[in-house]
Amino acid sequence: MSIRVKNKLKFNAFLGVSLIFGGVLFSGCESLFKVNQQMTNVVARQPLARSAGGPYATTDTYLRSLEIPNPSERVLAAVAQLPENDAMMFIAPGRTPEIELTYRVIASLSWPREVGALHCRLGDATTSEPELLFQPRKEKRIRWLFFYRTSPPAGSKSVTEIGPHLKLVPIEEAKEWTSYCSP
Amino acid sequence: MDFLLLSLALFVPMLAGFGLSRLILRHHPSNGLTESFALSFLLGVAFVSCLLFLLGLVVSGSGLRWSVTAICLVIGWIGWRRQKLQIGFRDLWPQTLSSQLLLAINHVQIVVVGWLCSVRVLGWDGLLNYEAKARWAFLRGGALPLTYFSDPTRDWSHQDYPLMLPLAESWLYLWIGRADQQVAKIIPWMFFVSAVCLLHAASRRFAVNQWQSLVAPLIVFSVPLLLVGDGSVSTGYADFPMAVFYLATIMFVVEFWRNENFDALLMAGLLSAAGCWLKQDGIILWACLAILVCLKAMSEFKRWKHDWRKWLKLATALSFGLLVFVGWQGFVGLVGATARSEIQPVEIETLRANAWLLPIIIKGVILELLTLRHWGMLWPVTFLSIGWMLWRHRNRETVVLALAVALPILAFASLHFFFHGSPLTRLLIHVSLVAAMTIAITIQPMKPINLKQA
Repeated sequence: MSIRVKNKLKFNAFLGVSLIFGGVLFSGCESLFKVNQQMTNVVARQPLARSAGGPYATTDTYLRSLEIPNPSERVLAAVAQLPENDAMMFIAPGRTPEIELTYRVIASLSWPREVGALHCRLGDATTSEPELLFQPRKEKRIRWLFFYRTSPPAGSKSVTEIGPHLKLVPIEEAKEWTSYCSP
Repeated sequence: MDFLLLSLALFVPMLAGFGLSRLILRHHPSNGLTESFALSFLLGVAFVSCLLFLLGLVVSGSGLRWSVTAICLVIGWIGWRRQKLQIGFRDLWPQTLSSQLLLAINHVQIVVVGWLCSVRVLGWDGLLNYEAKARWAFLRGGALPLTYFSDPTRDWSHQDYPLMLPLAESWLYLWIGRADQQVAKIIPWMFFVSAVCLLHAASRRFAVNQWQSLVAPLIVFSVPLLLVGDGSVSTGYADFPMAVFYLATIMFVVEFWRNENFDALLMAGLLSAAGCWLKQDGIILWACLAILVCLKAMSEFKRWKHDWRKWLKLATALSFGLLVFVGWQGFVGLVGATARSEIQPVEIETLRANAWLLPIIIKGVILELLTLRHWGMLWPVTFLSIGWMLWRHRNRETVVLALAVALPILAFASLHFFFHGSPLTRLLIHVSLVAAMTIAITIQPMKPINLKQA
């Protein structure tokens, strides 16, 4: 048998084996997908540890409390229209780990705008004093307020509803902080 | 397109890292593929993040990216010209069936960890201390503006933390043109690949049998906390990368002890300095390195006392870490970053006042080392193998390895006298890879010292 024929046979055998393996792999894709899903449930049992993929995989997971689809993009779209020099305040009813996480993620997405944090401590048994946790620099004017799981003051105009639990409200002049902590 | 850009984004720093490793290890460069790969990545990431930080003070945007790229290419070219990589392909493929099987398992392990990183989100610190800074730097053209460091509303992002990890992630963002939290996980995964490569390389340097070099990475896979949980590779924290830098440092310290290879000492000093640029805790590991080097200097004092060049090299190697630490602290003070004030003053008075904590700390440390769901059998096996080695083959390298494991654990435990919230579990991660290396290379007596090199 000539070398050429031998090489052709080898090539055919290679092609055949590749096709068989390829076919098995292809048909196994769905099974692999299912296995992947099952294994993900094992290694990331808690929903807060599981990644859905994408550029905002982690922030979307951490903003699940907003109960909206694509929360990071929604927050980014809302703050993108605001001037970069405007400062903001994040007003929330208390200081729980979930609220802390939501605040920090929103503050990180709002870069370069400075976002302060006011925890109203509504319904807190130990103290009812609001806590001003972070405050923007004095030279920055606070022009916007995020209300997270609290209601904006009655009569607020141009309220942007980012989701059922998060609202963005413009203000002309900041009032006494405690006044935003209405139960 | 993303794949190509990401490959370039990783290739450029690795080329610089390769060049640096060839320039530092001038006399005895390693031709092992695994060691070259790991060193290229570790030195490259440290170098590129340093450049981004320093050049970022004056340029930003594509100017910054291309100037960093140009410097990396030049360094890589100089290093390559000086010492070409000559890989023996016979060394790449293990000779025995068991070693081939172990090699396959190591590859599967790398793939599994890659998958694990992709299906889990970044941890709290991984997102808010590192990825967030990477995103901000990217949005400002690759470097964080100085105003960030004194921004009171970003106090929670630990403005006083060194910037290696954020800037390494931001480098990837600069190349792909967007901030992407899924892409950022490539960096911790690459640290895992480097850890596997280093464990393989260390065993090849010091162990007698080839299979030992493939056992070491398997030990890592048996430690749950290195894969999942706060500080693990999948969370994007700085703890696992710190463990990789410490592993590389100790590998070269052992090489220095065995063969009096001052190039290796220089490399250890540089890697330890990179640790200080990664996390402030790096200074503790630098202090451990300093103790090990000083012990060697003391044991060789009579022989070395008239050779000022050796003392100069020793001082140079140790000065890198101190320079990075002091430099960063100076910068942080200068720009007005808020420093954490949770730590009580490190004084004898504090130690005396908190002396009553000693039995509690000892108990806490022992309980932590025996927590199976964190560490598996890592620590009991480590201490048993060290004890066995010290008993059977009383050589100096085993003492060095024992000290490299014990000194940081003692230091981290002692932190509790000054800082009650010290996260011991996470800090132990820093030493865990050295522990894995110790187990693998103390299973059998070490290779005899290379007299030609000595």
